[in-house]
Amino acid sequence: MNCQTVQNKILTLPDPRHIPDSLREHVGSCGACRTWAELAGRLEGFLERLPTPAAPSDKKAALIARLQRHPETVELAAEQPRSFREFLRQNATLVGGLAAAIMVAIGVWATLGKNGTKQDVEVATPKDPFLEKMVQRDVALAKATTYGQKLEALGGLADDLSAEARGLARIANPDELRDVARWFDRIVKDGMIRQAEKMPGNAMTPAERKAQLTELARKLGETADEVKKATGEVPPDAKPILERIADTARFGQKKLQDMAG
Amino acid sequence: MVRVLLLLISFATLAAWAGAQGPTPPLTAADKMKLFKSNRTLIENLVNHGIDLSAADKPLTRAEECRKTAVTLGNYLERAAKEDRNPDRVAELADLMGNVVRDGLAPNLDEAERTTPAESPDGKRVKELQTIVANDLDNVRSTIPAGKVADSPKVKAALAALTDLKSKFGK
Amino acid sequence: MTLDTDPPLPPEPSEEADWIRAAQDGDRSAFARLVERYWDRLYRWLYHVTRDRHTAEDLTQETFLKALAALKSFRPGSNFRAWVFRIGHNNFVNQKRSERRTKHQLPEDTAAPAIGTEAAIENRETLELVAKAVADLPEDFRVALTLRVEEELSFREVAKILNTTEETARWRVFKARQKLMKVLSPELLPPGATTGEMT
Repeated sequence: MNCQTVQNKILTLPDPRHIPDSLREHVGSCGACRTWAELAGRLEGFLERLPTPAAPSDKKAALIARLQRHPETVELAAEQPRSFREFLRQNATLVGGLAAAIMVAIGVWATLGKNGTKQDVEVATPKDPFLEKMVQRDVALAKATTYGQKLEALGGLADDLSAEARGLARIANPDELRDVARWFDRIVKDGMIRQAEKMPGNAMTPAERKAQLTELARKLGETADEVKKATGEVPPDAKPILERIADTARFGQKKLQDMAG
Repeated sequence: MVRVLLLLISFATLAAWAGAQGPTPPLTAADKMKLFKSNRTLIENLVNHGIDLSAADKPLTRAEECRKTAVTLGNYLERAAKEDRNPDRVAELADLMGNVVRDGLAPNLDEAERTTPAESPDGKRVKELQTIVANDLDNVRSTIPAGKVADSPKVKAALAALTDLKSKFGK
Repeated sequence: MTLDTDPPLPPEPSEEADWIRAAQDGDRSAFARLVERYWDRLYRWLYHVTRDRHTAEDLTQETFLKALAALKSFRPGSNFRAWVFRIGHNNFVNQKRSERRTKHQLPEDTAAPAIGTEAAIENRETLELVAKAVADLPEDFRVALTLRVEEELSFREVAKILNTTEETARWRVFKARQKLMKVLSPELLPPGATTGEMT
């Protein structure tokens, strides 16, 4: 085992202060790794002792007291609206601005605001930018009337999927990531390559055809490189899935290059 | 003098309000994951529609495929309204459906109408599809049950935009 | 003033199971015992995750109220602590969405060492640097690391709380430590030690 491997394994242990037998021999005989293990152990000790400031108010005691003495007054989370005080704290700038305006008698804000009443602050669901991209690509494909435009749109779709895979690789579970890999596969093989193969000879001039296919091939090559690079920064169970995407991109690159001539 | 004072106050208030809104915060990793999980199957459908769209070789076929994409979005919209009861999601899906209908389906159907003899089978299908799409757009509103979702201003605006699109389909 | 960081003795398994059973039957004072048992630990973790004590306290309260509301869905015999922390994590994720500003505070009111030895002072300074470095970690790394170290949960348990795979949980803790080692290794040397050879 080389030192880099040993040092990485130390950091992957449940507790770096407890070195297992499998690493003990190397650590015992290698000065650098021994120092590394000691530092990692010290770090773990400090992490256990991270200071935590006391809570600002005594909600713990208040909740316990209510549970013990007046249990019927404890409102469960599903029913409890946020307090007006919390609304004020979260929107300090807005409320400050409104207060200033009200103080110089802009009565309009006094009627639009909800002073003195409890607020139900809804948490908004954010829009999904990836979903929006997928719809935009479908619209682009709907508008594509030439093979050139179709291939362009399919290339864009492949780009979006590989970018999404790279973004999700650190956080998604393997099944989810495999889906993205599968979609990428379909777009490259059933989309790009199939449409490039179907393209009739008179769809564009030979020079235009060569230029477009070469460019699409180049982009797939870039995708393969980017995805391969990303495998260094993802969990082990995501690596083979990203590698599959890189392989598909290379496959597509070669096919399109061959068709370009 | 009073007008100037009122203008200054209005400006200060608007500035405070705008400042409090702030830029849209970027999505956290957890948000991205939650969104991906919610939309995973829908996205798979959209990828499949994309493949089918790329294989469509005439305006009528592209219009048919666009309609299928719009119907898929409509189905998820219905689920968001009835099961999730999430107005943001309903509004988002209605907007996306509108994009597909306005920018994909309508231009292809127009082109098909322009280039296809009216009495041909394809010509008849064009007319049929126009009626079907208009009904699809009507149905969206009826799939949303009364309550929080239907009353949401975002949902109302999105549905109004869909209703406006009906005029493109002969109604 | 910091929290007393000595962890309480773990309850006897049957004792906690009795409290849970009673709470599921509607005994709120039994639930109060569970709150007493786990509040500080949950607050501590949420503080290091959110880096704001107000938010951490609010989230802790919200978590216990949600736990109380959902108590009937808790499967007796399974890990109550992990179940509560999972609710806490879900609340944290939901809260992030509504947050407009990132609050980032260094630890407040850190306790001074009882005896002002030079080593103790250096340790305290190092601890502050470690705390800042942890606060600067990417959120997913910080969440996993603090669960593993503070709660001594296995990677498998961490994964369940974070709704991910054990492999990913282990990887996130590894990346967190790797980043901290890169930033902090000079500071981690014991007072008076030399750097020595390192790869």
